[in-house]
Amino acid sequence: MNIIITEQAQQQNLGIESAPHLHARMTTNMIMGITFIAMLPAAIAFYYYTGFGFVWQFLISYATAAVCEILVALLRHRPVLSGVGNFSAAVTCLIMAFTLPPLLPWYLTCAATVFAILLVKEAFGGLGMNIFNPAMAGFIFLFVSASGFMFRTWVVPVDDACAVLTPSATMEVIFDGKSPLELKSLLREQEPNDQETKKQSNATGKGASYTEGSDANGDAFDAKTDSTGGATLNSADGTSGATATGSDATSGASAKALDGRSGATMLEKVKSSRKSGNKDLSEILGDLDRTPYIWIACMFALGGIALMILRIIIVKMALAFFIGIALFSGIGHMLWPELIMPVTDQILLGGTAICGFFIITDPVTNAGTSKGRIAFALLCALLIVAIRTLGSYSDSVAFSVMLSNAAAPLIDVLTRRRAFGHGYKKGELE
Amino acid sequence: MIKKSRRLFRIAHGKLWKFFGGVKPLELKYAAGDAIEELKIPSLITLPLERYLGNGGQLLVNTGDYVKRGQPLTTPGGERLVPLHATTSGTVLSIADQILPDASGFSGRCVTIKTDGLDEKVDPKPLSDWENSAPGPILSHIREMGIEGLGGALYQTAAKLSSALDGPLKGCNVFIVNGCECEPGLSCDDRLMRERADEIAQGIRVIQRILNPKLTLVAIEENKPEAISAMTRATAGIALVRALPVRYPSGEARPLIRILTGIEVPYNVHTSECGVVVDNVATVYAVKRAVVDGEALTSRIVTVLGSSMRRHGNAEVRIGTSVRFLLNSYHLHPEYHQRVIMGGPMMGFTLPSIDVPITKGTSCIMAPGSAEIPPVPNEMNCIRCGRCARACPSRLVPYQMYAYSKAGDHAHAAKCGISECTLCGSCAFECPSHIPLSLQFRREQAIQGIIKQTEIRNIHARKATEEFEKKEAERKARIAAKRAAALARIKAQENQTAKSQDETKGSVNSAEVAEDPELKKRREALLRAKAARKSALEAAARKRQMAQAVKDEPKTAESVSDTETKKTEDTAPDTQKNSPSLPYSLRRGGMLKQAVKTEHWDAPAERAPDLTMVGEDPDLSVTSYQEREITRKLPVETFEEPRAEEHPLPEKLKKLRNRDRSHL
Repeated sequence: MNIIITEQAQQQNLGIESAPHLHARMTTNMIMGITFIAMLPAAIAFYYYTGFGFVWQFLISYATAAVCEILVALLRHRPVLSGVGNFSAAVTCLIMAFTLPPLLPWYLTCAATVFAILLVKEAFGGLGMNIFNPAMAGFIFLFVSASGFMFRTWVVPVDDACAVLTPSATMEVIFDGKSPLELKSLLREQEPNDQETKKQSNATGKGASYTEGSDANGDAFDAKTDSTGGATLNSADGTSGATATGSDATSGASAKALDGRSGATMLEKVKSSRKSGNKDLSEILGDLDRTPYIWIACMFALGGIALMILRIIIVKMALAFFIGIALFSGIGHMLWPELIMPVTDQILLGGTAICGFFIITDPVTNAGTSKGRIAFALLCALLIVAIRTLGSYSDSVAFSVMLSNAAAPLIDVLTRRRAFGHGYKKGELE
Repeated sequence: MIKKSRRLFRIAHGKLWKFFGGVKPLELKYAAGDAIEELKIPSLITLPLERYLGNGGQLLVNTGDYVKRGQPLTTPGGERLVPLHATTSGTVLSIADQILPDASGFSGRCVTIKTDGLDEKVDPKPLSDWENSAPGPILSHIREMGIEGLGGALYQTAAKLSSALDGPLKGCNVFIVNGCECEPGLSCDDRLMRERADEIAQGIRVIQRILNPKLTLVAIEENKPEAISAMTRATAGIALVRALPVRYPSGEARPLIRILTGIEVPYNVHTSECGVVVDNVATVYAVKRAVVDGEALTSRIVTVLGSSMRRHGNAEVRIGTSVRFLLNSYHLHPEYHQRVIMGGPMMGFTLPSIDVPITKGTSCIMAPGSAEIPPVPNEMNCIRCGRCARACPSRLVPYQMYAYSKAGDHAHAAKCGISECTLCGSCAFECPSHIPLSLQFRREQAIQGIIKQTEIRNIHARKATEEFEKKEAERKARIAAKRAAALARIKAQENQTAKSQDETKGSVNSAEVAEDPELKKRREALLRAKAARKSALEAAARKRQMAQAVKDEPKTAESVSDTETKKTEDTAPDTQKNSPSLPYSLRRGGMLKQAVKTEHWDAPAERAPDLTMVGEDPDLSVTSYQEREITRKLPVETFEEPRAEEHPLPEKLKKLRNRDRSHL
């Protein structure tokens, strides 16, 4: 403010402030913190179904992010703790942890986080300035460059997996480079009585599952899934979905082997089946045990509803997203039942749930007005269904989110709203 | 008539529309329980002149004049302005620059009245026959009584009403009395409606007489049930009272019109053009006082609150009372960096100095403690959460506008609708990153104003240059034509002379001979004049030398008796006298020394007698910057004067004080 301070005024030493002296209670840091807390129920479900590896991933990712933030703060001559002080990095890292395979070697997680924080977020100007969702970008970075690793280290959600994947066991795999296959086989033994579950557990260890799966079904399938990195794709889908896909795979009784192969890759399985010729999708999806998926999706929904109640995310946007998914996949399934999965599976598998509540609602990479946000959500839903059906990757969430992010400025321009008083006709009051 | 229009029918039957955006801040209306109390008359009244003079306005009083309450001090130039009235009786102390009640801390010309406490009034001039008179006289009476929009915008009421009268409707469809008071903390209108509802009703009747509206609505927010009941009782049969839901900018004219009538009046159109006139309740009350009681607008009700004050309440104060006086009478106990907010906490501004007067537009003085209204934390990056866009009652996208404005992209900022921002502060209220959005928009609007001005100036300049070039081209063409004509003439002449030379050679020679004696005479006269001037100069120089010699003689005699240093000083003029052919530099040095000697003094020049003139305008005696500073300080000291009289100083101290002043 340009103020002329006279001697007289200077002596009085009054506080000076700009106009609205009152402020709403919500702060940016609170928004981030609440988002973080809202994801915790899902995190607990994740821990229960995929073991402690998920927590390790988060810790590695957050430590890396903190170092990156401090580095950037030093480079930009900002207060050192300005970046670490808020929860935005924590939220990014938690989403990353949901997305990445739980047994991924630590250096890869570090690489993905460095890419997400330094290149995608801070290089554009830090909090609020990034164009793309950092977590999604980090995931895609890893997925494209190290798909084999991601495939191998995926864990399919299994009941009570946390008993097998203990902190020490997962630590050995993540930090000491031990093969994840042993753990996976252990996980398979978790439920020895149920054959289906065994197979599912096989599926969890991708490598292991691969072999088993090939035995069970067809080599061609397995090979395809592997090559496409379908598993990784799946995992990508469900940042939450990855796990979901895994669980999908496990549950698919008839296509147990397939499931096993692709790990999370219920979606991958679907994809490969589609590629190998028109297989009936119900064959793959029919015997799927959806309990873990439903639980995880419900936990995400719980967090999402909490955010809606606190007015942090717009109800319309999440609604538009899920309605969009239901609409597109419902119509698609009716027209081409062999190509497109039914609505429930579209929502449960892959990362649809976390995407609808936590990823597309990221305000930074979103369209601005509520009209624009609805358009954004619908576009994202359309892309998810389309990429799942037509794309060569089974995972679609990360890609469709990135594409919609790129379209957000355009949406902003197209959904410009009528300013107050525009459209007034004379004599309206007579 | 109402039944003909469906919309008017719906309005009359209590339909309320919704407006987009808006926020719900803390209400802070704890002063609403305090009845209106009349404050004592302060010892000084300061009235800023700027708004009441305009172009060609005249100041009617001078320093030392005695004025009475309600006496006009100015006649404004232009129809848009109203005269200024003295708000109590007293003598005009000064007419000088003082700090204005503005966030910028600018100073402007003010009339300061030293009150005598008698509060004498001029005779009231009620318009006795207003019920039967035409709108014209009532309007001019309202204008004479200095009534402006007391809601804060200070738009002249008579101009607003007459623009509605001049419009195509010859009046208006809907007249809205605005008692919303959506700004947090304010309760002055609430109290006014509770305590003086009948007078407000009378004011409504006056304005109805002028405008002849089809519908009259009184809008009051739901959080003032007592005011609603009081107004319903008082305005039964005159107007319809509407209780509006509580939402922040609902008291602003355009959102209010939207709520009550459902139409959105564009920002570039006057509300009266759309058949709606909105007036604040306080304005309507002032209209009643002016027309029925014949009193000029000399006081207003101000809400005083804040946790830094021992008391809070609604004070009826004289316009021109200083904020310091008001705060003192409510027992301010300031904290460190105490903020004093003039206007409400949403749209008001912090004062850089509390020695500023209360104007007609001041509705609230707030001195909040930092626990009540915490200071604004540091701003963070925008995360584009869209809260501002959802809160904007003008349906703008503030974060976009802010980004453009911050980046200096004024064209895009204008495209985003910066001119339609009312600076209500809803966006900045909602911003979770505490970005000072409305501050930036105020700045941007100022910049846009400058840009517009320069554009207009550029257009004028372009026109002027075009005209100039046109004229220049014409001139050149004219010159060229002249030259061509002249050349032609010369040629013709040459041809002629050549011809004539051939014919008569002898006659030319005789002419040359004839001219000679004349030239000779002139030359001789010039030479003579020159010689005379020279001799006169010499004589004068001789005379001066003689005179100097006579003067210097006694001086030199004195200097001999003095110290050696003085001798050397005095020898210089001697040498000068003796040898005027000395080099110029030496001569000059000598003269300088002499000058220093003659002008030597040991006491500083006194300016004391001028002091009484300080404040008279324009003060040409004040030339240097330092003197200006002094004059600016003087009015501050006059604030202390009354106190000094209460406790008389001992004579010695008084003398000391006077001497100190004389040094100033």
